[in-house]
Amino acid sequence: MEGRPLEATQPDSRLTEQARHGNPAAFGLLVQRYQEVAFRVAYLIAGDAHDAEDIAQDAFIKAYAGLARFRSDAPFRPWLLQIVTNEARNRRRSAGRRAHLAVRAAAHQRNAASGDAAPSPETAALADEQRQVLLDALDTLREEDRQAIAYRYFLDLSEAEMADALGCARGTVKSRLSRALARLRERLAPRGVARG
Amino acid sequence: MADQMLRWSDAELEAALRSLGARVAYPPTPDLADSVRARLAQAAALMGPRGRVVAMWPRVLAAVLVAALLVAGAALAISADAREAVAQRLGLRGVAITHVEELPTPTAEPTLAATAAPSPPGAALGLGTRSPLSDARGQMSFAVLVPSVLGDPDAVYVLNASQVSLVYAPRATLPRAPQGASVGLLLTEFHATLDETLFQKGIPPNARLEEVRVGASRGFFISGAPHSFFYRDASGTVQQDRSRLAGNTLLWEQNGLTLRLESALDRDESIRIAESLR
Repeated sequence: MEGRPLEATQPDSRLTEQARHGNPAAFGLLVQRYQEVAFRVAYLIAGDAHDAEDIAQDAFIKAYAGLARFRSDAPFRPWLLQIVTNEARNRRRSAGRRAHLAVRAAAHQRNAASGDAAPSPETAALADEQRQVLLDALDTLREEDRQAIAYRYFLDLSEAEMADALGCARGTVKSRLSRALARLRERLAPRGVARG
Repeated sequence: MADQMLRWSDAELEAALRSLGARVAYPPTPDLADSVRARLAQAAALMGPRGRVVAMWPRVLAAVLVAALLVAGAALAISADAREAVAQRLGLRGVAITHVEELPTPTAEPTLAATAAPSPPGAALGLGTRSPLSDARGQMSFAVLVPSVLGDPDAVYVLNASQVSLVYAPRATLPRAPQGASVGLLLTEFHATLDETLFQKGIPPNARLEEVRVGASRGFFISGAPHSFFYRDASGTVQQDRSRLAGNTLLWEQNGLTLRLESALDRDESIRIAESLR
């Protein structure tokens, strides 16, 4: 706490150590550093910006409170994301909501199946439809599979980070991810056949 | 189109997922640093003088922080008036009532209750050292109050010179409390001052909170669900406690003491007993 000035460039381990000794400013820097990824993880699970903000905020508070249990040589980000993930899951469960992967394609022409086909270049329309097919297929997956895919490909977490965030052994992340992808393919198949 | 997707290689599928991920319309990230900082400062302020906060850091503060997880806009049975009244720790000396969405995991129930040996009512509740009422009166730093309509308690527990618990076994007029392990009513009296005691009550959404009058004092009646407590004991250490009986709770202040009455009784009956304290 005393002596060393706080700098935004300090490594996570230094900041967690200072925060652990009762320096909220050090923790503030960690919040700034990771609020975006925390918020996005929460948003992907909760599907609502307001809920995601609450979840992320509570997760930071819990992380601060849990610093005593946190090994300062361990990476902070995946530990935080694990707290965010748990917080988001618990909230959704207590709200009795079914998990949907909360993806909204960027504001862009995506033709709803309203029959009111808006004109768009065929290539873009195909890409949009592919995205929708992919989204629909993702939505039918188990929560575990969806989260593994979202963490890896949407949020670009490393496999080691995923293991921490999802609370599983590092060795199993790769196989878990490949199983999730295999199941995603299965979900794509019937739709493809039906549409011929 | 779709059968084209079926022919995607792993790499193509992964690329498609990355492309999909890149198009997720995330809402703008709110600035959490300020709100988190404010909440940490608030929790620290509740804890008292700064030096003490640091000394207790962080295991103890953890309990307070968890209790302080406020849920904005959650649907509540708590009336707006009552919520307003408790929002600023008004009314009761050293008491903060905080709405929480979910209770922290309760500590394990003592296994004492499972043993066959008969134990006095409340022995499994971890209320302190059992003591005869007369001894307890001598040990306490304040005059112990006893509800005259109930008479002397069946067991008394002293936690330290500033907290005493009176336990009554179930009887005809005192139904057994839901998780009471042969307890009908629990009355806890503790010496509380604003700078010495922090007492937080975690109220889950399915609990109901009403502001009531106990004699000339203001109080709160909490019913409908178990809740948790966070308070600072005489040594300044924050303790976590939960509603012991999963029944209804009346909290009020009298003679400079804060009192907590837990039972399966309804509001009016709880108040009647509370008003008989002598």
